[in-house]
Amino acid sequence: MRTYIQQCWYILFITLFFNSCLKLDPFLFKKEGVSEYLLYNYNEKTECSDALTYLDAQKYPRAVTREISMKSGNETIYAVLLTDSSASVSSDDTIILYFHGTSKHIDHYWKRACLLHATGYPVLIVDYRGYGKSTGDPTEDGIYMDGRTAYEYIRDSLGNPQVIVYAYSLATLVGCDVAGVYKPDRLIKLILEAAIGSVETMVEDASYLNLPGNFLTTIKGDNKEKIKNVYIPLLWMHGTKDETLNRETNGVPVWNNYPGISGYYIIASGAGHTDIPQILSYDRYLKCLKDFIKDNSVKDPFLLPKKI
Amino acid sequence: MIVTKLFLFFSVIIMGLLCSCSSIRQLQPLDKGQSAVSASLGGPFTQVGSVYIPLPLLSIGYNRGIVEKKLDIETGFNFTQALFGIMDIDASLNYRPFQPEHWIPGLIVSPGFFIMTDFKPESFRFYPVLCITGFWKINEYFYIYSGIENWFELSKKRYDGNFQKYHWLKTPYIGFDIGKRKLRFQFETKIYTPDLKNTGRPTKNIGFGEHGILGIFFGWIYTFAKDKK
Repeated sequence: MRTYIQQCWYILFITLFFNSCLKLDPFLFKKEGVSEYLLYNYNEKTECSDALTYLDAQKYPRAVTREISMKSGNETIYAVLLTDSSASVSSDDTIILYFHGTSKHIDHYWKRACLLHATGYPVLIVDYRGYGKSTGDPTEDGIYMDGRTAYEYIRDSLGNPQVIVYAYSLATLVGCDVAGVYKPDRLIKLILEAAIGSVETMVEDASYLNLPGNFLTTIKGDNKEKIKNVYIPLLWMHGTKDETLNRETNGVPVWNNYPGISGYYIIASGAGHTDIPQILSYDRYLKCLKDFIKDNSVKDPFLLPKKI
Repeated sequence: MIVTKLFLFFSVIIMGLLCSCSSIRQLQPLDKGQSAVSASLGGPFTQVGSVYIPLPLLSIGYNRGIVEKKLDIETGFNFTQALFGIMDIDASLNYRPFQPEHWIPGLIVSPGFFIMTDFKPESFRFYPVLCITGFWKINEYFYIYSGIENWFELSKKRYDGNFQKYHWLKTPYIGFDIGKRKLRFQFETKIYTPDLKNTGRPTKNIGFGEHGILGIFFGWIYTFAKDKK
């Protein structure tokens, strides 16, 4: 009898021990809160740090900005709209919905947003819950909800323009989610930069081994599956030296699973995770985007774009 | 931008790999029925924020002599992984074909296995391992040792659908063992996968240029007196 009770205690202890475990989910989201967005006055080191210098030198006009808040579930998320001097968007326009990476907040990606605005289209950059001024804490389902909320805000409150989704790094999950959910009447194109394959892939790339991602995180983040619902034209960009999201294990499987008929990719030779625009050169980066958005093609012969 | 927390995320992930054979070497042969317990702390130098630190991986082990001075069995349990709900255990046999004599090293051949699971059927992982250790007895209180851990990945395909590129992971190590018969301490440094590039992965580690990952471990062994029965 005593042995039996002892065994029960052991089983209970082991069960409790292994069920009260840590998970690393929060570590994937490097949120940082702010009370105000600094935008052009943000001085910390960021990606595309010389983009504003380039844009000023090329005499691109600085965008007119408008801060927007919207309800996403129980949270309030914030976004910034970049427009030209007319400061308005109508159903005849096309807007770029920019899902930034999972680091810090809008200010950190502001220069990139300005680059996208230099394509000649208005840009809406969104902070997910917990980021910047947005309330709450980021979760996988939460950031998907925030992405959908931003799209619906454009549709319902911003004049229902055509939408091009531009998503970067881990936020390509949000981009693929939105692009797979809404039908292509107004959501017309998807651009993925340094796409993640899945959180599983990140785990396995880090360990060299076939280790299950659920050992350490409950986040699935399976872009390889999400992309199967995307039929709108796709432009995928990935650097050959991306050490955060390896191109072969992350980007290529996403590309291979794209079921649409109008896909292009740009392999940026020598580019890492954050510097594709610089490595391509800002001129060529902008030209590629403009070509893809306007003509649904990529014409730069040096970039070796491929069409499915 | 690669961020501090993201580094930490992957740093903890990599610990799963880098605990293959126990980082405690039971150099002194055990008599039949004799036991020893051990603990080790340390890990690969990994960038966390702006600095590189050895990951604090804690494991405990138990050895028991099977054949007088020739063969003992070793089991280990990794605590750090357990905090993440992963049962991470290893077991091996330590076969000692000969003991050190003057400058001729003693040899320990340790075939074993490593199991990781979070109790979901699809997440069960089994890895055969083979450690080969040579050691020199400088005097009664001081040993030097060196060897290689070999970890074998049997899967052809990864869980995420990509092909498993690496099937034989090698980790050479060198260390010293100091102390009295009952209580001894070990310090070991190892180079994980020196033949593989340490770039192209989300973690940043100290290696030799673009290859390998440097790790250090500190260990403690307590050997129980032989049962006189």
